[in-house]
Amino acid sequence: MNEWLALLPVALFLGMACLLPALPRAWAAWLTPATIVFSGLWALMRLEVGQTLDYSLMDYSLTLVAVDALGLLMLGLFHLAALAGSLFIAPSKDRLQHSALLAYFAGGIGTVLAGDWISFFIFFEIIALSGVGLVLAARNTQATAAGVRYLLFQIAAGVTILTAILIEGGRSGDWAMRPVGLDTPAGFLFLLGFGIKAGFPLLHLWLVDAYPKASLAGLAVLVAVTTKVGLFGLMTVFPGEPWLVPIGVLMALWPTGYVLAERNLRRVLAYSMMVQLGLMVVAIGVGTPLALDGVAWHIVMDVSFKMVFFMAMAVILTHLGTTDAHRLGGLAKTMPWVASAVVIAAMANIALPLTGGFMSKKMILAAIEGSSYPHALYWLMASLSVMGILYAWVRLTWRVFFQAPLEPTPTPTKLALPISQRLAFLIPISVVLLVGWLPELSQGFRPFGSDVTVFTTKTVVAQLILLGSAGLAYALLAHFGFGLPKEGVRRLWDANLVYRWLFRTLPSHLVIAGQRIQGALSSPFKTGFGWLAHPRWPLKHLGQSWPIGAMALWVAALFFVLLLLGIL
Amino acid sequence: MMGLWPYAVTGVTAVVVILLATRWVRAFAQVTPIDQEAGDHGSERQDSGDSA
Repeated sequence: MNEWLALLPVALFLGMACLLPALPRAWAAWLTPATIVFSGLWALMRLEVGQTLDYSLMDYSLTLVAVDALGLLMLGLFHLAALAGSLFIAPSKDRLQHSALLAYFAGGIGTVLAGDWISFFIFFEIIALSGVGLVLAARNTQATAAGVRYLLFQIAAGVTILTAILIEGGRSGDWAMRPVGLDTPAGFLFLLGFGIKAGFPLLHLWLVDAYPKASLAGLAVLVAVTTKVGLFGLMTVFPGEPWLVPIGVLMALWPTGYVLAERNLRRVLAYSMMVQLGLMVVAIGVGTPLALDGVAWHIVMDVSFKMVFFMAMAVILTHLGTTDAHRLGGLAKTMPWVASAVVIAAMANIALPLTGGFMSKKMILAAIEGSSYPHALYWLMASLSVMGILYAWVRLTWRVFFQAPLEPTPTPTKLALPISQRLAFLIPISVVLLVGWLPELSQGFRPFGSDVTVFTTKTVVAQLILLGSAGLAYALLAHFGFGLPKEGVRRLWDANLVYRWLFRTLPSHLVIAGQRIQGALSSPFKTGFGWLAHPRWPLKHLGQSWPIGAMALWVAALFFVLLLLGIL
Repeated sequence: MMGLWPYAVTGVTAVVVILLATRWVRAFAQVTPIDQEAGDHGSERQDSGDSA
C-alpha cells in the first residue's frame, strides 16, 4: 500500500475540499493553508523522479502517478500558488471558495503527476468543475452567467480531449501520455482540446469572459492551473510541432489592442495572459530542450507575477468596488504593500534582469534564436517585453498607483492589509526575486536537460538596451502627446461579437428551426393519428395528452417488466 | 558593444508600432456587451462577504 502514498497530495487536497463544507466557517481560514503546507512538505520529502503508481481498472493497466522533473516543478508551483491563494482568501469565511480552491489545485497536481491519459483526464475534469466553482462563488448574476459559459467551454475541451484519448488509446492500445503527431485525427482533437484550455485565438473567449468576473479566490488562483495544464498538455503531445509557432505568434499579438485600450483592468489582465501564453506556445513549437525548459520556468514565473497583479486587482475591487481604469489612480499612498508587490511583478513581466521573468524569457528567446526559424521571430518575441512596458508598467502600475485618476476615486482610505494577505503577496514575489537573484536555481533544475547559460553580461546589457530604448521612446512620445490615451474603451469587438453569436444568435436560430421542424413533423402525425382521439373510439384516452408523471410511471413499469423478463 | 544596436532599434520600433496598432484597434466600433447590466466595466462589488 506504500506506493499509494504518491497520491497523498491529491487525496489531502480533495479530502479537505469535501470536508470543509461540513466544518465551522472559521476553520477554513487556517485548515486550507495548513493542508497545503503539510502536503507540500510531504511531497518535498517523499516524492522523487521515477516514482510510479500502477493500478488495474477492469482490463486496463494504468499509471496513476509517474513522477518526472517537469511534474515536480509544476507540483511545487501549484503548492506555492495554492498557499498564496489560500492565504489571500483567509479573511473570507466563504467555504465554497476554500473548497473550490483546494479541488482546483488537486486537479492540477493530479494532471501533472498522471502517467496515463485516463488518469490525466479524470484530474483534468476536476480542474474544469472546480474552476467553475471559483467563478460561481462570486455569487452575482454576471458571474453566474459567465460561469455557465465557462463550463460550456470546459466541457467542450473535456469531450474533445476524451475523444482524442479514446481514438489514440483504442488505435494503439497504449494509454501512456506521449507525443502524438498532428497527422492523425486524435492529434487534431488534442490540439483543439488543449487549444481551448491554453486560450488559442478565438478559443480564448471563456478566459477573457470568466476570469475578470470570478470570485476573490478565482481572481487569485485561476491564472495558475487551467491554462497552464493546457500548456502542459501541449508540451506532452506536441513538442516541436511547427504549427504551434504561427498559432503562438497570433496568440501573443492578438490582445495588443485590448491590453492597451480596455477600460476594465481585470479584463486587461485576462487579455495579458494571452501574451505570455502565446510566447510559450511558440516555444513549444520550437520544441528544443532549451525551449521546453524555458516554457517550464516561464510557467512558474508567469503564474507568480500574474497572481500578484490579479490579487492586487482583487484587493482594489474589494476596497474600492471598482477596477475601472478611469477611476483608479494614486493608490500607492493608500495601498503601499500592494503597490510594492505590483512594481516587482511589473519588473518581472517586462523581463528586467534580476527578476525570474528575465531568466525564463531569455531561455525561450535563446531557444528561438538558435532554432531554424527566421530571425524575425526572435525579434518579434523579444519585443513582447516592450508591450509589457506599456500594459504592465504604464497602465497597471504607473497610472493605477502613482498618477492621479481620470475620474474621482471612490473613498480612497488607507488600507490595512491583513497579515495573511501580505504573506499571500510575499510568496509569488519571493519566487520571482529568488529565481532572478539565484541564476543557479533555473540553471541547475532543467526538466528537459538543457545546459545553456542565459544569465550573461551580453543578455543583461541587451535586455537593458531594449527596455531602456523602448522606455525612453515612450516617455518622449508621451511628452508630446502621442502616448497611450488615458481614456479606456469599455469593450472591444472580439469577445462580444463571437459571444453574441454563440450564446444569443445561434441558440435563438436553433430554437426557431427546432419549432419549425417539430411543426412540420407533428402536423401529418396529428392528422394521421387523429382517429385515436375520436370520441367514438373505445380507446380514445390513448390519443389524449397525459401528465408527464404518468408517462414516466408507465416507462418505469415497462422497464421493470423488461428487467423481469431479462432475469427470468 | 557591437551587435547590441538591433535591440535599441527593436525597442523604439516596437513602441511606435504598438502605439499605432492600439489607435487602430480603438477605432473599431464598440459592440454592446452580452451582459448589458450597467457597471460591467468593473464597478461591480464582489458579494461574497470578504473583508480584504
